[in-house]
Amino acid sequence: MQQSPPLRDPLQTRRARHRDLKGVSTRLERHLDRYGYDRIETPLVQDAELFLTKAGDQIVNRLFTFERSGRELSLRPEFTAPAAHLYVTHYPTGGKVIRWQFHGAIFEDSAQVYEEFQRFTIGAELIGAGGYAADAEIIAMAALGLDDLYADKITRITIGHIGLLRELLSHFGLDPRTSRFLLSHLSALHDPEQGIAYLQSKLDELLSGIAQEPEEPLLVDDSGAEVSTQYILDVLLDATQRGAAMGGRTRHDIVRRLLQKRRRAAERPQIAAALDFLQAYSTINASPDAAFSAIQQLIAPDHTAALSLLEDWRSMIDQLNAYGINAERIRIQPTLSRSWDYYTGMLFDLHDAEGTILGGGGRYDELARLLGGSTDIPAVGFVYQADVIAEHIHDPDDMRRWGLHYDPRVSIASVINWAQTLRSAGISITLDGDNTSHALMLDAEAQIHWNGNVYALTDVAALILTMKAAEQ
Amino acid sequence: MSLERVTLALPSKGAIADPTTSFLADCGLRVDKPNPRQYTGSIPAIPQIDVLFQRVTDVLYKVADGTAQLGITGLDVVREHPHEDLIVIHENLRYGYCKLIVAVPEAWVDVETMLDLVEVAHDLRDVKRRNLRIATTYSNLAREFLYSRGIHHFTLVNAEGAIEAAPTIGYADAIIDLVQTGTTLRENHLKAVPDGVIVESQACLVGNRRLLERDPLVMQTVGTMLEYIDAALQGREYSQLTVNMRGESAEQIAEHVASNPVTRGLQGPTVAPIYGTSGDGETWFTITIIIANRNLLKAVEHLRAIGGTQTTVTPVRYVFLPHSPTFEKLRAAIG
Repeated sequence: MQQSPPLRDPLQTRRARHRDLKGVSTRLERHLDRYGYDRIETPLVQDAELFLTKAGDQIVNRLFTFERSGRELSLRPEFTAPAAHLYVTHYPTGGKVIRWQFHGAIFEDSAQVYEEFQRFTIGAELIGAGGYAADAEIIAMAALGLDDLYADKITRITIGHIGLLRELLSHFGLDPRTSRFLLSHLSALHDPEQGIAYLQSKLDELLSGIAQEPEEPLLVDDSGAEVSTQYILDVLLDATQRGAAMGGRTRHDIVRRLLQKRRRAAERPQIAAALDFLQAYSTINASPDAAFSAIQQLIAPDHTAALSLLEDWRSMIDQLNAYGINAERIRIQPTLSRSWDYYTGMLFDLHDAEGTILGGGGRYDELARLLGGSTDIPAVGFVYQADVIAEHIHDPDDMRRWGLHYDPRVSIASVINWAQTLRSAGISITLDGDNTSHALMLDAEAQIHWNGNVYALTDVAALILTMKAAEQ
Repeated sequence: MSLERVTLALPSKGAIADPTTSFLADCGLRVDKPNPRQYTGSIPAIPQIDVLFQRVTDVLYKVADGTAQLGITGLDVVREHPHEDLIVIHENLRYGYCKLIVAVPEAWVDVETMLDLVEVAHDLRDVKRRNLRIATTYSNLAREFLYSRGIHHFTLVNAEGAIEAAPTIGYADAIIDLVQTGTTLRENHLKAVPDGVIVESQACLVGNRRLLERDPLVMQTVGTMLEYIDAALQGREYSQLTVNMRGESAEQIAEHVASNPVTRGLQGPTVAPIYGTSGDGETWFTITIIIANRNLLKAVEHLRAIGGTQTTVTPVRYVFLPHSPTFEKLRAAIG
């Protein structure tokens, strides 16, 4: 008869998971500390607006928000916005370079199982430092931290650049709403069921109402058009009393948007060109040399701003090499995207060979200003998915839990005396504990039996030496 | 422990309160309410039913928590407050029609579709640094609909009553509310966004799934109710038509009448002789058929063409099919 596999003790699994997570957290904290990143705490509950300011369309409906005394609050879904907010609170004009790390739970309503609403992440933010050197520091530190944990595995790095993509799209002269639409739907490019055809159909839908409008020539300049349209709207609304309800918009708001709609009717050729470009651009997914060569072919020779960004990107990859990260671990995917809208430059993902995402981050130079700073402040950061990492690693801390079993004839005072002596030497020990990695036996004469030897309390130094050796 | 009585919760006030008691009376389930100030009543046709009058949302809560086992409320309320113990037994009782819609000020001449509203939400965020504010009492349906249409940055302003006035007063930009005729919208200078219909609602019969599964009396009671309701709703679709016709025999008359599918009736015509009427020696028959209302005029035309005279039409109160289709569906759903 086939034996069924032993049932896993759920509590034991939970304890092991906690230990793994704690081990990962401790080791990554030490790793980040070596680069000068100080640990900072941020509240679990903060004003929702802090996160909504630049939440991407895909994430905004996954925030846990609630209202208390008229304030809309949110459970922390990430560390970047709180870090930027903390920075501008203390340094509103920038100028100061800080290196912070964050550890803790974040909350996102993205799972079917309520336990997965909460995830444990470890983040690091470098604020006040611009340029590719800061980008390289963050990527290298993130990848090398995982190398420390995964002795036998190589973490892969995929790098994109939303700043370069924005710059390239700006060359098509699109309405800012159209550009925003394209940038917020980049993930569709990598979805086999959506792709460029999906973007095309959504854009057709967006512009269909406009195309049906009569093809009257637009007034020649914006100010003239605004005056005329405002006049027509005023006459219309005053004559019909339809202007009695306006919500929170003014007649000027309506006029401006009417004119924008009309302008976009003439935008279709640019959109078609931008989609052609995106189709070609989104297929690039290669080693740095091959990818940069392909990207360069898609940049007009006179587009100096884009060429300069590409040059910085190349230099950043060279600098990663100086950290010991060779180009073979790196893929360049220029349309890599994120669910948060605040990124402005380089983006990256860390993943294992199977494609499991272990962390990622990017540059977000505008966020501090949007959160109240007086100017853009260069900033770059990343986050480790610590619970995902912990699932892949059996932390050595798991081997350091001892159980002290004892003969019922020995006095409990002797048992406690032994346990306290060992604890004071840094040994983690539990009386009669199960779920431990090693077991010591205390006999009726209050002597420890371990590894074939017998130790009296006077021999404790020798015992500890053998125990420490076993822990290694 | 099995129940000895079944509680049916009905709306005590609001747009569907009176129509509900009228609807039940039309179905043969007259509701007796001994005292207008009391919140209980009975249905003499089904003696085991106690009627409990509640507000439409409370009807839903009472059925969901099992205080009442059955209830009649609006489909909009059910969609707004879904509950795992709640099952919609009959979702189109054909009264209390209304729509939950997105409406914006008429002055917003630039807004013709939900995609326009998406852009207005972006503009408000970019230019005025605030969210689109929408007044509604349907926060769950509103949130879900706005997300599905790509509006992610909005603030729902909870309001009770006079929601249509919110954009005029200025504490909201747009509203999500129920409309029946659209008159109130127009009076408040609002317009519905054509692709902003969230729910097309009408009155519906709901039940507590757990108690329907567990308690035979609840199932038996809803079975009886559905016999009346299905038969009455089915009856509304048909008329009984009686016509006199001269002919040689009942068989010949039946053949002529049934030659057109429109006048074939549910099963076929009933033909009966008329005795001692004309005195001219001709034989007269009276024909009775059940006709779908939508075919009434076609049927009359055909009967005239084959010699029918003195056609009378009377409404049909009930059409009992072999089984109540809604009850069969419920049994399949409950398992």
